Amino acid sequence: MNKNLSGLFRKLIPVICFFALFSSCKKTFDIEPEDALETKQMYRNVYDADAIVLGIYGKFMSLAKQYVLLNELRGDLLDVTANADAYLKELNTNNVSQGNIYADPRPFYEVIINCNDALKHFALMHDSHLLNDEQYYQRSTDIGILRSWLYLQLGIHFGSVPYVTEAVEDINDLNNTALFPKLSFDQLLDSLIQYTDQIPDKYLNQNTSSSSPTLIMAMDGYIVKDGVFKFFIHRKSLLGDINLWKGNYLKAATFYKAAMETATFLSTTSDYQIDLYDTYRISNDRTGKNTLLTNGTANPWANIFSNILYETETNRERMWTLPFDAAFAPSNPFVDLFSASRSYLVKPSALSIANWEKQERLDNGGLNDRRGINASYGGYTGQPEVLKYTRTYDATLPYKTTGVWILYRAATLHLRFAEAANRLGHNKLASVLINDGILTGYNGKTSEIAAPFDFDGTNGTTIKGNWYRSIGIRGRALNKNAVVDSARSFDMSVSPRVLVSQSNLTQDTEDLILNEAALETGFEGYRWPDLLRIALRREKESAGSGIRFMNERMAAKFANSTSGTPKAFTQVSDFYLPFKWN
Amino acid sequence: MHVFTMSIKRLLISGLLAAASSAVLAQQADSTAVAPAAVSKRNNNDLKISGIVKEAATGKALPAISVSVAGYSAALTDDKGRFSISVPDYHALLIVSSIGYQVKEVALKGKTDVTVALFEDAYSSVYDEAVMPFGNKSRNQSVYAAASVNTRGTWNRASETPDSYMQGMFAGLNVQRRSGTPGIGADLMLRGYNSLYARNSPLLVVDGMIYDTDTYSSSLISGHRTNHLANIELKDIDNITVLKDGSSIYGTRGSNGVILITTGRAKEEATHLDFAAYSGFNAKVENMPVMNAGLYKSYLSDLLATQPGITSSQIQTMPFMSESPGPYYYTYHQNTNWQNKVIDNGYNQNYYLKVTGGDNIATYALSMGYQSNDGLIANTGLNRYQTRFNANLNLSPKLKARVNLAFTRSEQDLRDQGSAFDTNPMYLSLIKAPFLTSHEVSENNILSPNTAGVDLFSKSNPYAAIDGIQQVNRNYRFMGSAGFDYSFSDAFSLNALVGLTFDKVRENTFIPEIGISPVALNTAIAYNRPGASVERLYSIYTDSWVSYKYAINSSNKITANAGFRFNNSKSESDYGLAYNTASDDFVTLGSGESSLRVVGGNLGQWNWLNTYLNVDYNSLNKYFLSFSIAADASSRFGKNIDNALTLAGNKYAVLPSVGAAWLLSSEQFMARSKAVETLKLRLSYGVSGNDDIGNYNAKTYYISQNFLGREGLVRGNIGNSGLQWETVSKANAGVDAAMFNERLNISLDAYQHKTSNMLIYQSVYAAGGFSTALSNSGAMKNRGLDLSMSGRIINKEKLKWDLGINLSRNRSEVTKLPDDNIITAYGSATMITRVGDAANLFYGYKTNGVYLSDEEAAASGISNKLANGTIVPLQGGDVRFADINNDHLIDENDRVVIGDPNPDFTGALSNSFSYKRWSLGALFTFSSGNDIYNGIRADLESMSGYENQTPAVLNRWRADGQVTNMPRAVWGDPAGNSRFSDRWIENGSFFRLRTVSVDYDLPFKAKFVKSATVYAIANNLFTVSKYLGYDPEFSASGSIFTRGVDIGLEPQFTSIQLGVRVGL
Repeated sequence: MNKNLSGLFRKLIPVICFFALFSSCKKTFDIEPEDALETKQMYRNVYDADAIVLGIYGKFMSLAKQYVLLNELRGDLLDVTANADAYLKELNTNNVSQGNIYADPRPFYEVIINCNDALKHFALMHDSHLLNDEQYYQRSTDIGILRSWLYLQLGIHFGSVPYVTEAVEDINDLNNTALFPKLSFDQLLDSLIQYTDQIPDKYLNQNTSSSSPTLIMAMDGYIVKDGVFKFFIHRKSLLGDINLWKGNYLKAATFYKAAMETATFLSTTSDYQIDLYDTYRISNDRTGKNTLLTNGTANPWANIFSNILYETETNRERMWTLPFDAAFAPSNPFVDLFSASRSYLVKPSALSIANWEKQERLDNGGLNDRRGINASYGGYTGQPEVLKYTRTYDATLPYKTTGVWILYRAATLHLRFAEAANRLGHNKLASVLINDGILTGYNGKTSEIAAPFDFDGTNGTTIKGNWYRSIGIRGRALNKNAVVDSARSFDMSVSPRVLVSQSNLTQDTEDLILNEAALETGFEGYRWPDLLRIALRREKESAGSGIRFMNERMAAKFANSTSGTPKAFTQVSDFYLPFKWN
Repeated sequence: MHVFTMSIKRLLISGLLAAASSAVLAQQADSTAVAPAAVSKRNNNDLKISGIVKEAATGKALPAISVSVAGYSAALTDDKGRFSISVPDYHALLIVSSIGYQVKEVALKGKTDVTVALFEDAYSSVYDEAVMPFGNKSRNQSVYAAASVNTRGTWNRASETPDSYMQGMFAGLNVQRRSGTPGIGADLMLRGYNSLYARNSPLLVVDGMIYDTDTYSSSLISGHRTNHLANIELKDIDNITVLKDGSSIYGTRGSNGVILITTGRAKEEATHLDFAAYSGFNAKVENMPVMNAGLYKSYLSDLLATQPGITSSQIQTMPFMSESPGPYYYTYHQNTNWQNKVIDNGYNQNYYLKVTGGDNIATYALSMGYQSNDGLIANTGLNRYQTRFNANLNLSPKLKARVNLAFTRSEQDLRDQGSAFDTNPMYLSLIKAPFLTSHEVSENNILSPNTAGVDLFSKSNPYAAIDGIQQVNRNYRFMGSAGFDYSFSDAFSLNALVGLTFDKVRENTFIPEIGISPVALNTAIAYNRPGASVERLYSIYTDSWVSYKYAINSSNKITANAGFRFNNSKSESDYGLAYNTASDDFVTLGSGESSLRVVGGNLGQWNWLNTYLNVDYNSLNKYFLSFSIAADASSRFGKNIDNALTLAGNKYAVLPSVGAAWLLSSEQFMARSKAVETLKLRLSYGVSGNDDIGNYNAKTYYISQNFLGREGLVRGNIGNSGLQWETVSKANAGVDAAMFNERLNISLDAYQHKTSNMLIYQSVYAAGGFSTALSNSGAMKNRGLDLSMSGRIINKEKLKWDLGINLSRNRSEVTKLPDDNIITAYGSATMITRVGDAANLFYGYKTNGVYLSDEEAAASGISNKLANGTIVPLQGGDVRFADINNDHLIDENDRVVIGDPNPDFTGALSNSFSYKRWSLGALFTFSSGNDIYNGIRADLESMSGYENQTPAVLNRWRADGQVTNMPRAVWGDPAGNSRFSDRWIENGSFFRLRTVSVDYDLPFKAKFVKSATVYAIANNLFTVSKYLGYDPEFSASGSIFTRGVDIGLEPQFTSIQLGVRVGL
């Protein structure tokens, strides 16, 4: 018996040896996590690439609150309420201290680091034929442009920032300062333009569900058409924006025009409804159905902010939207921020309200609310509320917070195009676009014939120009045309009048555009960038003028506000927030 | 086989086996098996010495005592206690032992006639055997700071868990009981903490197997931790040895020291049966003082008046203020002592049966136990069933095997503790309005059987928290191992141990709607809440080594061991939470609203390989040298560690240690010293590691991120391919001495630990895209002294009094951090960890009374800056916070260190008296110089909401000029008077009578009954402390960042037990 058991022990020796062998094996000490994925388990096929894109957009959505607050509260249209904390108050007056949680660039970099990671590995996948050209370029273009959008935001608010484009994978990369070159805003714009310029033209069109069937697909009740399709960044408009910031007005206008002419070159697909005369053209489709055209009895313009995502007419306006769905994280941050029944931290500034009150109607009487009260904001007793974000919210149903974050729309596009055109001397075209549109403004083709300033608004019985329905931004809202004071630019004593000051005309038209932006796109996240862009531009033209411009704007904001004293800007660097390194 | 049996019998006669009163480990059996060969050599020379052996207490001569020279000769004393024995020379070492008496080593130092006085075997002696990793060793010969306790059954410590039992037993081992919850155990910390973020508890090795006490998920039950060590029944334990240094043999798991636990095995072949039964009473703790209904009402009306926009007439019409009868008059006009509703006396029971026996081939020990123990909170309690089977098998003269099998199952009813403000019954009982009561009340003041709902202040009903809430923790652990020892020769043996651990914790909870405040989720309001979780651990462990013994000559010996340990562990945790079932009768996950269900969990797996070599050298039984080295590989280590040993692409931690001891008292020049019996100097230095760096943190990994309902992936971390173990170097200098014929034993150690490569969540600059990344960028050091003294004060035949004192002092200091400091928060406390100080110091505001008047407050020129940046002017009755930076704003820049949760000294005082058949043991424990943040008092004196408060608030500031330390009562506390400040920091020193036991050996003379003993045991009889909370001893989590923060856990309570043990 003992012998047998000794035999057993002898059998055990190989077992022990096996363990010894087993433990020396390399795999033993390289265990893959089961609830996370290692790099080597990633980027193996197009589905992995899609997961990365989705993850980035998922993370991107958490920037919404900071984005709107930075861009609007720093501007002149939004003000704080009594509920606001010190950080918001600082943002409101631009006296931002180090450590202000809203002036933290980190959340932007959290998305950027993922973009960098994705771009690096997409290229590797492309090299090893795991992604074909179409798969690769669609995804890397989307993520590359989204990253450029993020950097543009960082540049706008922080001035000079580290422009990180390489993947940071290991802690040692953090010590490699070459990965974190700090660029001035101007250098940053150069880099962004340089980066976007190398994207092949064909990929500057929006990605489609047929090009990327695994990525663009219906999800959670959101259909592809005018829904999921528009969740992805609008490419050409951002390229226009970068060039507009840089002062490349022609290039900017060309990109904007290409976006405005989307319907000229594309037709309806399963991705989006395209109406030749209407899509992105700010039009009246003359069917009487156009849900966005204000008339004597209805002011449907505000539906832009509340219609369901795939509503057809609204999508002639919306270009880039992201949904905040009550059923999914992250929850809608806007309801809490803006609704008087919730935290109610910010409200329309007195200046913005007064601006809307000054609107002159085209019709006499009828609705008196236009884009102001009950449209852009609600005038509740003592508690004006930004309605653009809360129209679908009902205080009695506190959990129904589904809403939409509109990042780009046709009016923005037209305003920016007008800004570029104006700077290139196409002052009339600029004002026609913001006023009552090509048809009324030109009654036919534009006098400017060189692209991209050629618009055909011919309204013949059989021959229709593509722009014949365009009614302009003010036209759509049934507002009287805004005009410049001709006396500042023209010699009115002669007939026909003679332009004597192009610079005055350009500047006055720019002011018109800026004011129109306040009326049309207030609270949507463009205001501070608009002010800053113009201030920087004017400062460059004439030192001190940009600073003065900004100080005047802020003085106007706080003229009827008790919420603080604005920061006195004395130099360009004052426009930027302190960059919080840690 | 026959030869072997014979040798065993001879050994039994010589009594050597009895000396090994603790576990019969294989190595020991080996050494005894060598003895017969040695005996045959006894007549090689003529050197002989003689002596007498006496009993220390009475001085009477002891017959039949074994005296031997290891490996050389052996003898027995005659009836006059005399003996004579051959010795190799006159500097040999005699080993004197016998059943019922201690083992003693006697160095001859040239003497030819010696007198030896023996104490009884229970006496704590320097010659006690310590269970060391490679076999037992006399403590007198150990080069390392090791302390050992032979538990002798612990019959007088029923219902304790091994960790709480160790309290006060070992100098340097700080045992802090987590709370009063039965079985919750204690946090063990050996010589301070060596790490901030990695494990700080010592490695536990049970019968050679690493015993995993980590938890792999947090409990669904607030404030609860599953104590895996409770799965070892204390009465099964024979020996506990604490290795304070020299632990590098356990490589990257040894940095916090090692505790070796040995469970009981059969000591002889004859069958023994021991049965014990205990039953007792758990006394509830004294109530915390809170206001009664009348006081509370007047306080509340004062407070409500400070609510913005409320008028006094509105207050007067509130239902609890209104004195006019109405349908709800009696609902709001009760006077309830809520604490009496939720805190309850309880009972405990404990039954234990142990059978040992066997034959010359196999011996076994089988034990079974059951215990139940009620918790302090009503309707809570623990039930535990336990069984263990240990066997030794002599398979052949050369091959021996050991088998250990243990299975324990516990089921415990619990309730939320700590910061669960809607469900913690103890918290609710303190803050609940006393004018309400637990059940609905009719118009005629008749109590209905229906539990009262959530009150008009949205506070839960404490009664519902004990009656309606269901929270159960079920845990079982199986641990089994088989070990084999094969002796190739006297010198060589091969040893192998293979074991398995399987552990499962299952929790089920249900929070009802009735009586409990609902919680707001992102998408709905949750009224009732079922929850369930499972945590599993599966672990395989092997330890294989060869042992080698070599005698250079008769007085120079080397023993060496080389081998490897391999451990593969897998953990899993899963949880599910559901909300809004159809009614409180549906308590399962599946019955919740489907759109609100939340599931989650995690999986982990890791491998660890530890290869080691240990060489011990003994010269002349007075010079001892020990060298150990380990090389560890682990799946947790990064692949790019600088300066690390690399084999086959894997990085190895190479960790050596060396120790030396000089038994000074065995030197010739000490021969004349009568006072000093033994004196040993020890010096050791070693490096060990801590592998608790996370399973996958060295890798760059991706985690899921939703985009609407689709799952995408984003980066989860910045990987650190250089991530490595923490390195702890330990230097130790110690003295062990026994004086006055062992009447006084002293052991004193001074040590310094230096942690380098300490794991830190290093902050990453903004452009890095993450807020932190893990790196080995910190360092800290610990210095301290451990003193342990024991002695026999009275040593008479009938009356004996032993006194023992353990005293430990540890100072820790963080010496390197990548960032300026680390600010952490727990509960409402904030703590700072910075270079130059101990970690985790309380970091808050200094106060100096309250402003007497508005004028005085205004005159100070100081305003409050709230966390959101709002600046609030101060008023009379606001707390006078110190404006440290003189900017006239009280904000976070005015915070300073206001307390230190680390004690200056901890220790214990143990007494044991025996008188005839009576014996009495009393253990006092103490802690001195530690601060506690009394979070409960902060809640009960903040005067900012509907919560009931302590009567101290009656002294609050109410009018200009009033001199008081209690600020004004104001709704919402806009001035931040109750913020984390030195108002809530209290002295946590205490002195406690931890355990008293009295037992009486019945003079029984029945046929089958060998012995019978009756026990009376009392725990936590009294505590002397200035601390105002329930209890100064608690630990909210194992993390050092929660130390000293009292968030309201079940306190320790007094329990008494009567028991009987019968031996058959």
